Amino acid sequence: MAVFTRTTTNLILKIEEFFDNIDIGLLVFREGIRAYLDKDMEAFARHLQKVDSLESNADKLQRAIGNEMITHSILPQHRAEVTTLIDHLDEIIDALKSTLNEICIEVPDIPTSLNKNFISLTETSISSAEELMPAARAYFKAPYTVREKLLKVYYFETETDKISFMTKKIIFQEMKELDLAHKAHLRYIIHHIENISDLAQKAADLLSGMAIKILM
Amino acid sequence: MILFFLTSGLFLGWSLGANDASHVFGSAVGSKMVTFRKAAIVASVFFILGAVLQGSGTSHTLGKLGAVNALGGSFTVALAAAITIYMMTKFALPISTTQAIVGAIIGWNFFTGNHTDSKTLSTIVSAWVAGPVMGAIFAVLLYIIVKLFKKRLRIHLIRFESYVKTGLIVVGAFGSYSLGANNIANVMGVFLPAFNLNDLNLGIFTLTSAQQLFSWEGLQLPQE
Repeated sequence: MAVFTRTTTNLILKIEEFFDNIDIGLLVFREGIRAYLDKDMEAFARHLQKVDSLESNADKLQRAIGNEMITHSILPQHRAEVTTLIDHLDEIIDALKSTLNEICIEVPDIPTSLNKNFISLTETSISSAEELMPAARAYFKAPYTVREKLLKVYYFETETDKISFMTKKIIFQEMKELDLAHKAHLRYIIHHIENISDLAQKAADLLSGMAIKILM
Repeated sequence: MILFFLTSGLFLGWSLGANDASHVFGSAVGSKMVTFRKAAIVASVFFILGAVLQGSGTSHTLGKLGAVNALGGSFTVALAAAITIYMMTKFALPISTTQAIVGAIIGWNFFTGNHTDSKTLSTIVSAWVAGPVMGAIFAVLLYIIVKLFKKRLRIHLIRFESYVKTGLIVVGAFGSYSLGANNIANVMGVFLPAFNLNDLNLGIFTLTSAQQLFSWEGLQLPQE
């Protein structure tokens, strides 16, 4: 029985550590975008490296969680959903890493006049994912509070879409001095940042269903 | 010859194992919360303990229903019940062993012209009515209590599941003990009046004739 208790505690710790990785990854991503917009490339490289190591650790934890759940037959009725949720959350940190990598490789020229829009877009998109994390943690401890926590995820996702739309409109309709390739490149970066909130919404939809199922 | 007559009891025990063992651990194994191997071991050990330590109580009640005091009669009654249970199990119909054995005793009483004690019969039948009702009440009460505890204590889902797993094994052990104590009479109760062995002194404790009979049958019951 002691062995079993240790397995349970280890698994809980791994899940919590996985969530912590996503949470910190979101914070670091935000700082990374700020550093890029401030042209502080040294800080940007440092943040990129940090997100890279967090993503790598999250992947290891994801595999370990899946393996332990199968090996010790933990949560047989909810295992598939829990592993899918973890997979969806891992997609978020993957997106954080790939977005910073794209920026690092392509070095998009973001006009200073758009800094405010990009910061706002990043803040809102990241907020959407940040609001998802307490809901994901709550699923394991207080599933009846999950749905109310998810409301903010949907709110910030909608806000992200609005900011993205406005920014793209400014780029394509008001900034005549930019050539089409430059505009398309900026739109591509906007899509990348906006994608984080879309992934958060996808995970929120799954989590919402999971919370209903577990309460039945 | 005695051993031959006891074969019908062993057959009944086999049928009872096939029919009743799933009642205790069926949902736990079905939901993959407890492995079949673990369930089989716990059920076997506690069934034997229940049969040997507490099986005599229900045997007395069943014994009052009618006089089956010849070994041949015990053999026939046990065989009739065993065939009934075997057939029902074959058609995947869960059947109460008590009902089968009570029916077999009443049939034997008709055949031999013995008196069936209606008071004992009504006691047994009222237990059949009260059993499901009490089961339902306890199920609802326990569900409400567990749900309240879970909500108040905010236990992690995985930790809660580990508690449930432990609980299923403890409850399964208790259920197996009760099943052994309750059902051994159905299988071997009819043999008691016609079967008499010398007490077996094992040093620490002594097994009476009934306990020896129940131990032997207890080994047979959980095998399915």
